[in-house]
Amino acid sequence: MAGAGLCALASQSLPAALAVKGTTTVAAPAVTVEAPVLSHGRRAERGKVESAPQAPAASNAAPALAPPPPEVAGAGRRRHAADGGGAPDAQPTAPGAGGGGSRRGEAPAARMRRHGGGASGAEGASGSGVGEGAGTAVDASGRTASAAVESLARKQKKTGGGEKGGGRKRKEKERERERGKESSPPGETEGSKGQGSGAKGRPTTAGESTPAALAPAASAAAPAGGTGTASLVALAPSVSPVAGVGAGHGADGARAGHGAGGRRAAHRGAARSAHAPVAATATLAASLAPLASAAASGSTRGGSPPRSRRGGSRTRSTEPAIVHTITRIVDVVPGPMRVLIAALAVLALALGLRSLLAGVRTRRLVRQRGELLADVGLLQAALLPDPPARLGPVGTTVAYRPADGPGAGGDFYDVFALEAGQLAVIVGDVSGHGRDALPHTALVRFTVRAYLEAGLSPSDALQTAGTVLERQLGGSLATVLAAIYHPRERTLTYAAAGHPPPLVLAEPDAPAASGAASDANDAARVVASAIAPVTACSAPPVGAGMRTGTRQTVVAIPGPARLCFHTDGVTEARVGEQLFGAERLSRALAQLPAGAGASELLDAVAAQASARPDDMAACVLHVHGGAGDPAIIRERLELAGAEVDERRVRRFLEQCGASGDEAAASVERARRELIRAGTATVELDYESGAPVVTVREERVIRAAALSAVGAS
Amino acid sequence: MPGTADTSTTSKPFTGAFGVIQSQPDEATSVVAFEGELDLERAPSLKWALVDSLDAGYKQLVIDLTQVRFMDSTALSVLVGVNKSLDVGARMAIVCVNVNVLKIFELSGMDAAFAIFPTLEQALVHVRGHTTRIG
Repeated sequence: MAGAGLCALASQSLPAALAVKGTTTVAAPAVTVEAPVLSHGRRAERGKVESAPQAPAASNAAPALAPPPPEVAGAGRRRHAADGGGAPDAQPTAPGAGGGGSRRGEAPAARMRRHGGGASGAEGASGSGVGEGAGTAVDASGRTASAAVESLARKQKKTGGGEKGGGRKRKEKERERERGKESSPPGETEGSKGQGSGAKGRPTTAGESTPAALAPAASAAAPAGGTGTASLVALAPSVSPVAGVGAGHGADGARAGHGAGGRRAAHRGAARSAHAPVAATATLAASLAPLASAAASGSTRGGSPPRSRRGGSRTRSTEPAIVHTITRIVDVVPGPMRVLIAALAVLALALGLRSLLAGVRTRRLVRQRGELLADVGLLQAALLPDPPARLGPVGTTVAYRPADGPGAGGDFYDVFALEAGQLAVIVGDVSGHGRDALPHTALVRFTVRAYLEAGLSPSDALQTAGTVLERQLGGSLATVLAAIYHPRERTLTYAAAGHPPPLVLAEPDAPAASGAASDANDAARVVASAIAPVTACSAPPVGAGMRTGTRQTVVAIPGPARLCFHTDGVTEARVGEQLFGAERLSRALAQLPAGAGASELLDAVAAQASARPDDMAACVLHVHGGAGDPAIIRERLELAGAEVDERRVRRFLEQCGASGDEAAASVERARRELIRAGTATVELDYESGAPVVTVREERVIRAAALSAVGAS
Repeated sequence: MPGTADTSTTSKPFTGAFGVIQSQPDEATSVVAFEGELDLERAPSLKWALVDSLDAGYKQLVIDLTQVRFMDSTALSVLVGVNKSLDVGARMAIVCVNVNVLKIFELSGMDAAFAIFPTLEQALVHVRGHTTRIG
């Protein structure tokens, strides 16, 4: 775009250039126009100046220019030439041109204002195709230029209006200074250099005011130009074909404020130059004048180029200053200290690098840990089945909550239907947590399930599984509870291997009985109805190297009831310094609203607990229909081997409610049976109220089954 | 029971992990006392204290849980594991009076596997008596 514009500009201005060359006089009229140009920022002033005949302005300016010493001789000559040749020649057209110029000048000026480049109106007023073309070029080449130009124009505005003729040099100086200032921003250091050289070039040529001589100056500045100035300078060559001076002027004019040169104005200028070469010449000459004066001022001042260069060097000298300071400091530091400082620096660097690496590694490890825990959770969830909400007449719900910290895994449960509408429940916990526990969890769960499905009673299933799993658990313990609910008999038969017994509560009365007090009473009644399991002589966990599945309990559930099978993580949740405990769990179970299940129960536990160091798993069964509170109807204890602790057996019997005499007699019978057969079974039957103790030799098919399993 | 009387004077108590105090009443006996809660977090320190004692050659191991308020299944499995790994001739006894801990032993059925005594003296007599009988 810019290139095209420049070409167009060049081609347009070429005739004008030729015309200018033809006349070779450049001039005062330009100077006369220059004044309004500079004052253009203010419309009122411009109006004054422009609407007023331009001649007075010219005459004002011209004398002002005339006095300057030899350097300005060129300008003076030019003025003279313009006066003598250009102006009279132009006169016939000039009115037209001048009038048109002023009119036209106003229009572009207005446009300029809109675009932010006020000064170019002056060139418009001068009717210079070149100048306007330059404006176009600037416009096309970039906003930076126009911005720079604008600020320049503003500056000029300050000085412009009042100053005439005499103020010219000052003005020029200021412009030069402005240039220096403009060039001082860091990005334009090169540009300032370029301008410096351009300015430097000028003094030499200014004296002669040779157009050809000025052109190289402008073009010399061109390659050196930075972004902003480049565009400014770039149009110099494009204009330079017009005339050497034209080039300079182009640059100058652009600088003077060809922010947004009216392309139309350029066209008009071109058209005009085509139509009236003479007028074009005159106007061109006029438009070129500022350059001449610029050149003149450049030469007059002489001091400005260095200043601008200094401006450039100032920006450059900031870096070396720091470097210099550092170098000086380094020079002062003694050699050993330098080594020390270097060593410290290396050390600091190494430490920094190390901490950086450690940070990266930490982040990675944290992420991996999260992923692993998530994997464990997923696997655990995969191992925990989602049973149907209802199995036969029993509503079933299960829930699992991982521990607060690391330790997910280990808990397991299963709820499934057996033959004849029976319902089996397995809940367990493999000690050791995380990935190691997971395979064992699956192993224990499916082994126990297989024996239950094969038709073994819970205690037999655990005993068999214990025998089989003893070798496979690799040292870890597994606590398991196996239970079978028989819907027709309405009995729950369970056996535990080192596992907490289930909670069995009567179903609270219909929640329709509203009122907190009655609810609390009801809950208390329900909690009181809970079965009190016998804990003495509990069977040890699977994997402890001992025979397990030695205890079995049968609970009658004649009425509606809630059953809760859980892992020790639930009762071992902390409430302050205390354990959550079975009692709190009973209350929580009793207070569960109708329709709520295991998930709500664990939520209640979690809400009450201050810490949950272990996983929690729960399975809640709702038994419907019937009437009456649950009660233990049978307890059984198997004894085997010679190392039976008689005190334990006695404690068991006493906990079961047997009288002291009966307990002692039973223990004695059991001891004799053990000596005789190696095994003995102590059974207590509560069907008739008081416990009936029977001791008999344990000789069931299971023994064969066990040995068969053990052999295989 | 001269050995019992010596316990406090001859023992060289030192603290390994937090709440673990080990002492050696004689060259064959190691008493490892715990306090606080033996749960998932503390179970490893329990394990290493006991394993260290066994590795150091002590044949008579007394685990004093008098000051333990609570023990969970993880700690229990550690005790079971140590009990299973005892060499021939080695003897282990547990001192425990806390009902919570005793209940854990009972509920887990492991009270049958361990020799549990209410006092340290009884436990020492148990482990020493056995050793002297064998020796």
